[in-house]
Amino acid sequence: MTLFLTFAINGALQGLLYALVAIGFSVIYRASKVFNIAQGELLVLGGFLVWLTLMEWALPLYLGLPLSLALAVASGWLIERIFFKRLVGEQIFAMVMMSIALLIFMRGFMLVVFGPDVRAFPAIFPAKPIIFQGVMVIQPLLFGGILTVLIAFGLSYFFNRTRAGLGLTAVAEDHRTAMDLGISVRRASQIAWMLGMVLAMFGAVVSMNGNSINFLASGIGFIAIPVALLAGLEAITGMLLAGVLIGVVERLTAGYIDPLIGANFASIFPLLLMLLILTFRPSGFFGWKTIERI
Amino acid sequence: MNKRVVGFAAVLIATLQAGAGALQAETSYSVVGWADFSGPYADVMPDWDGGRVGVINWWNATRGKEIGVRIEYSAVDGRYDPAQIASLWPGVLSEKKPLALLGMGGSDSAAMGPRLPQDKVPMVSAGGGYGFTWTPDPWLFNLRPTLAHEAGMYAEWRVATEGRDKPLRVVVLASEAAPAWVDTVNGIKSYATHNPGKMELVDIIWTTPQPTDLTTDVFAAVGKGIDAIIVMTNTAGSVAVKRALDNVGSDVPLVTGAHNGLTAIAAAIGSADQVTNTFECAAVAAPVEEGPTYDYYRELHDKHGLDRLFSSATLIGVSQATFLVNQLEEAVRRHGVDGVTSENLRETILSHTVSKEEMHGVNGNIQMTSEGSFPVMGLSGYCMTMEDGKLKVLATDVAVPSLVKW
Repeated sequence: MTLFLTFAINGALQGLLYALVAIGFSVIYRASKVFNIAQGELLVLGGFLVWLTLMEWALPLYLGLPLSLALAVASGWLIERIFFKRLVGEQIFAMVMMSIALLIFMRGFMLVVFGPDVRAFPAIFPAKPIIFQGVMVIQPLLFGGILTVLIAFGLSYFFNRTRAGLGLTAVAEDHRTAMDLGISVRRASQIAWMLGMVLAMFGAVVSMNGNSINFLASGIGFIAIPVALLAGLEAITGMLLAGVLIGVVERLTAGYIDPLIGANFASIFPLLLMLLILTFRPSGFFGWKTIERI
Repeated sequence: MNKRVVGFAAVLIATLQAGAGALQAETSYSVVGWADFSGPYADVMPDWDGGRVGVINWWNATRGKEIGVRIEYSAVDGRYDPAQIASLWPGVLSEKKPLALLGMGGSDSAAMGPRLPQDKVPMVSAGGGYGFTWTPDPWLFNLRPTLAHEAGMYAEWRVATEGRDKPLRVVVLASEAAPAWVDTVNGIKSYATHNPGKMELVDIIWTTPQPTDLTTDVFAAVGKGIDAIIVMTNTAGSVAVKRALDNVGSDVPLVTGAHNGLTAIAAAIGSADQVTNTFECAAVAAPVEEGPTYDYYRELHDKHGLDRLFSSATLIGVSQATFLVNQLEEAVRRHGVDGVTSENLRETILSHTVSKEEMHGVNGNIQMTSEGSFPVMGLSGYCMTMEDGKLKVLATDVAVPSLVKW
């Protein structure tokens, strides 16, 4: 029973980490209509920015972390400026292709700039797990889970209750209409990419805490896609539920099903779920349902 | 006047011909090495390929020059991806026309397995061998047995050292991202099945090629009363398990191969002092700074452009290149400077033993046979650990056990 609880609790916390990465998809999508396939690469870049300030430059945490945050915001702005600025109002297909190009570019860029070495990642949260009555809880994931919940509700409030956030939401509806209403689509896109990059950096801090980083550590980006699709791309708080669901089932599968079948079914489970969602409920459980008037 | 011009022209032509003859005296053979500069082994590949280049530079400048043969070496990045390697191969074959290939790992072994006999190009690898290449009439030659053999070597060494009367209970970390990693699990399963008194495979932790946090998996594994966790994947896997063991406060030993071992973990963690209770076992020379292997490395380093550290990965590259140049020399002896072909080089490899001295102690005597792609008899290796931030060899000449094919 204690092992079951360990799997279930850490699975839920791992799921919240997926949700944090998935919120990155959502924020960029809601404000720029780009489904950013390269979100995992943004996470690696965010991780390297933290590594750069805290390990390479050996700055204290109170200086290094804010500087990483500033660099993440600047990176998001730069990515939007270089890759997506000219795509405002263009077809979705062009944005998807650019997102794929960004993924390929970022992998090469990080290999060239940061090299192929596996590097130590700083421990910002305490690495030692909490063990109570035989149940183990991973502390970085616990802190990450709390951070994710706060971010999700904060962003949900921003997008649904503030004038600036509602402006960004209008952009996600349609670029042309938003421009007709006097909303700056370009500015919305810039804010989205800066936010997306910051979220990616937080994701890196939680997932790599006290472990290691190298240019290939972007796999979590793909695991987060099913979470985003299950919740619905526009549903920020829905990501929490979807993340917990996928995380718990994945963890229990790894703990109980994989040893029985002698293979890694847990890793394909989220992708299997993604196929089912796309087949039966493409807008996810909490996503917007588009009504078209003819 | 005309006679003088004709005479001058004749002398000029004769001089030019002599010059051209001198240039032609050195016959070039192309050798291509599969590399992984942008995949899961990118962190160790510069050392690995540096070892190859150092040996080839040395050979070209010394023994190759004496016999009038030069090796033109080029590395091709296959990203440790069988599909990528398979797609690159036709271009490599037609453009580089390699006499032989230097392999890198399971991905090129899997991709090139059916292509080598078809295109009649031999390949020499020095990482652990694979069950799926354990077939007769090989074109792929691996200087080491499989990683499962090396895991068995650790188990037998530990059982003997501790005088255990119970098998070693182990958990293996693996990933389905590469055929070689699944093959290693199958090999260890086979060893445990056939040696129930020595090893019991308790569980397998399946993960990604770049795992970050494995605390939950390791916590569950440690709770099963295990004696070791074996990681034969890559550095990221070793580091994730080491961190997880530290996180849960466990003293269960971590066991790695040479390609993802102590020096690579120390570099990734950032401090050799933290690499405690970790063991590296492989059927190759230990990277210790004494003896003929280290002397050989120093020569390559000081005089022939080997600019990489004396690490296990560097030694893997040195090992395969040294074996190849020795076999090429033997092929030249048998067939003449211009008479070496990929096919007769393969025949040479199958019939000529490269001695431990010729290998500079990097490996023992290596005799390939047509029964399989790697030697399985009379092999030995080392087990070492890190103590107070320094490598410490615990045993050399540890016998590699025999395994039943899987």
